[in-house]
Amino acid sequence: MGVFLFDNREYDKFNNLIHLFMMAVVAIFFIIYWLSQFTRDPMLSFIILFLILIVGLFIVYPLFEAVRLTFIKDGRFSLETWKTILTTKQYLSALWGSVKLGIMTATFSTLVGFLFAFVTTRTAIKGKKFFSTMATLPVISPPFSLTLSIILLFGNNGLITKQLLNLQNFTIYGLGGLTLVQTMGMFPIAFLTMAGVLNAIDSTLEDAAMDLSASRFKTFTSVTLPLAVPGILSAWLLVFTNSLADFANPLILSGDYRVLSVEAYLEVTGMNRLGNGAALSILLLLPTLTAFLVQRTWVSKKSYVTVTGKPSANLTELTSKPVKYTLLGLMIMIIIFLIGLYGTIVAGCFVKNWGIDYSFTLENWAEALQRGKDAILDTTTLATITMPIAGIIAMIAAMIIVRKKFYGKRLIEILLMTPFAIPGTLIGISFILAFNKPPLILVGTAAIIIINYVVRELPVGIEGGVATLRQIDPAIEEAAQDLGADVPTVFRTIILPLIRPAFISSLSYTFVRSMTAVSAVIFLISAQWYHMTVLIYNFSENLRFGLASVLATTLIIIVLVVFGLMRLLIRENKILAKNDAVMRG
Amino acid sequence: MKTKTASVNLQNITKIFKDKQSQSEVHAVQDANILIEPGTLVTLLGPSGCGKTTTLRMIAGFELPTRGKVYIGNEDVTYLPPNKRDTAMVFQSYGLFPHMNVFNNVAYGLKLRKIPKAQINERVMEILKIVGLEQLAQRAPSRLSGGQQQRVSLARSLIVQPAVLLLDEPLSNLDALLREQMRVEIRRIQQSFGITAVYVTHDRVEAMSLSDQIIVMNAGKIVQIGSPEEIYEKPNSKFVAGFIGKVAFFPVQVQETGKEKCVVKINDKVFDTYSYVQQVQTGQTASMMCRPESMKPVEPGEGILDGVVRTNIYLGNSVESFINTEFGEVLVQIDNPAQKKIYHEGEKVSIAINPALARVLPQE
Repeated sequence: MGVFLFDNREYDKFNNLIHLFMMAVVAIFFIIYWLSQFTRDPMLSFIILFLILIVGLFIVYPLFEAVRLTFIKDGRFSLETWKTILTTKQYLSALWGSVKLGIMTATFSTLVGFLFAFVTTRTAIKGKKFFSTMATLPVISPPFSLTLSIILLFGNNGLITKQLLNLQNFTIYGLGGLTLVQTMGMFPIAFLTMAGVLNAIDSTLEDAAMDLSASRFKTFTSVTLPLAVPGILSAWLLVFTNSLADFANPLILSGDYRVLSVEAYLEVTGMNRLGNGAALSILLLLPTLTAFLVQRTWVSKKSYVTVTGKPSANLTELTSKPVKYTLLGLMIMIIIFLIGLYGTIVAGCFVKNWGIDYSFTLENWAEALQRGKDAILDTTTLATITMPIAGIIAMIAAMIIVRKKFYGKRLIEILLMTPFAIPGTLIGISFILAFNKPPLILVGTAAIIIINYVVRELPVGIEGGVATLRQIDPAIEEAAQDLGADVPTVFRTIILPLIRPAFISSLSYTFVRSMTAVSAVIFLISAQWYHMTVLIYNFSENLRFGLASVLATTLIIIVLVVFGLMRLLIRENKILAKNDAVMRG
Repeated sequence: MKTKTASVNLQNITKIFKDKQSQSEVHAVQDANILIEPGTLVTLLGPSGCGKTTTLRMIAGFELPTRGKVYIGNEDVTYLPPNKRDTAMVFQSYGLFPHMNVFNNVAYGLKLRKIPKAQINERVMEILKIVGLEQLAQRAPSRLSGGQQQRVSLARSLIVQPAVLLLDEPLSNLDALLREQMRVEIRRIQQSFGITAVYVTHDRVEAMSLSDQIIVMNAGKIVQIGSPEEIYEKPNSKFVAGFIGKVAFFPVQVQETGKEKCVVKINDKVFDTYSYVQQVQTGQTASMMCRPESMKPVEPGEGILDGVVRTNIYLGNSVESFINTEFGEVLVQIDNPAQKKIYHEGEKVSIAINPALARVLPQE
């Protein structure tokens, strides 16, 4: 560490040399260490080395560089950056702004999510599937799309605010608008979390309470709700984390309201103050990481839900008819609003000049596709390349984590999972800091974008793989190994076929996330490699909402098509397996 | 079908697991020395947690011994991964590949060895015939019964012609009747192949009916190695005697130990026995073991010790009579009950011991 602190221009070359030397020493040390551990299975040690390389080079090193930069001023160790950050009112209000927005969004999202979760799991209504599908739709919608339609509807020239109501002093920009758009975008996270918990609550418990002559409302408040508390807290914390890390929505909808993610971006791109940007995004990490850790360690342990293995088929409804229809009405209103938002984007594609001239036109399509075709191609290409890389690494890592024992496994696992909790802004900034200089110059290449995608999407893929693998009897793999299969062969012939569903969903998740990335990738794009979401942002910033709508719609279509294909592939697989079994039987 | 056959030799094997939570060390296996002759079936027998499965997994290569060496034949395989060892294991949970049919499950090992397709076909069908599954070659494992799955697992291991066949409680998931059938089958196949086999079980009946040699383990240590007869008739500790079969222990004073005789005093009566463990010495308190079939009820006062019949269990070919004595409840087995006098519940009796079948063990 001491070596890095006395960074001086004159010593740059010397410094780089030391840098390189240190890394080489560490690498060699690790190689020797691990090889000595695993002489009996060299393939396994190579895989572990490979994972260590990924973790070290693309997670630890960039983050370290970001932290290091905040302690350096003019090539010397200094606390000035932090002093500035922690004393400037603008930055502190951004921190408070982020937290306040997070609290608001988390609270509203949890309320809406609970409504959906409760109605779809605890009542007997028709169209549950439709409601849950609609309630998960925003998960795959691209950034900017909801913001875009909110602006089209409620903005300064908005259809509702201007044309219909002709409001004068109303502005959607700021905390209110942000809370609205984030809630619409993030309540699905809360819904999915709580639906899982509510679904697992055995309804015989509610029956028991009512049998002991509790009223339905009393049953709800004394049994259902307390049992759901860990799920509710989990949901709240997850949304809070997501809201804080959100970059796209505040970027165009915050107005004068300040949030950290945008502030960090502006410091880096607008003022070229990399140190401040890094410090601000590290500041952002504090509440995010706290919420994440609380959720992981505390809330998840408090879960009361137990699997009884005796699912009760009969659901006793807790709601009286009027209550049920009120809740249903609320849900339908929210879904109509959601559909309206998506409809607005589509409508925006065909309108000449939103807010002024609503005549039908196809010009937007021609211009947007003309100007955006490279970006569309780049984005799709990058996402397509990322997909198999991230998917396979995730499955390999899952296998190692679940099945192999070695020193330092827990550490590697934690480090591989960290990008999940780190705001994209920080990852983006640390990537440009780490890879714009030797030993690894990657800025401007496709590689830096792909690596960034891979690193960020690995955690979810690994989690899926781990969950699936834990359900597979280890004896199956041991049998294969015992019959002469080495680690790669076991992976190819046994594990991969068995975790294919997890693999495919990790692929589609990675693709969707890469297509809709923005917070990190906005720092990493270049003239050669552009991203659609950034282009959408550019169009909306220049008030070319028609063009932005076209690109957003295109993006939604691509994502939906790929998502649908993947779903089909999983189903196909299941049908194939079934046919096989029938034919063979 | 021919197989290679090899000895298995474990030298001073110790396996220590580290318990992360309590920071303590668990000695799963301590200083085990085992020599398994080629072509024999050896059982590792012991209560759960005694280290028998760990020992088996060290032979297979799934666990690395903390200390000691593992030899298969003359080759030191201690650090060889499982896929490089000439062993094949039949798992307790079978471990069949759920995404492959029976044929492909069995063919898996041959495919890895890059054997020509025609030959694979031939050999798979041959072994499936041996285990009686040739009709079910195309079926998915999930559509087989437990016994059939077990056979597939066995066939899958046998087809690669391993030097050593390892069986980890292979019958514990089957019902009683099937277990008995499969036991006979495994023994038949093992003997006709002449394969070296190591069999882990906690079931003494399984161990006795299958094995050439039984290795009894307790708390990570090997406590006795011997043929089923030796283990049953000449156990060297109370633990082995009790684990391998029903037994009663009586505290005795050792009066005299000679070349063939061990004179003990039980209940103030002097009694000659002809089987004892070397550690037993004159003047000590020791334990005399008596199997239920080595005792019989006689008129009060005529036997070694008196008691009252608590309950009789009629089993057809025998009656198990539980007799309350001053040393606790003693189980006495009466064979061919139709021809014998049965003392009824509550009656006073005395227990007579066949001196040829009693054995004196250290008190512990």
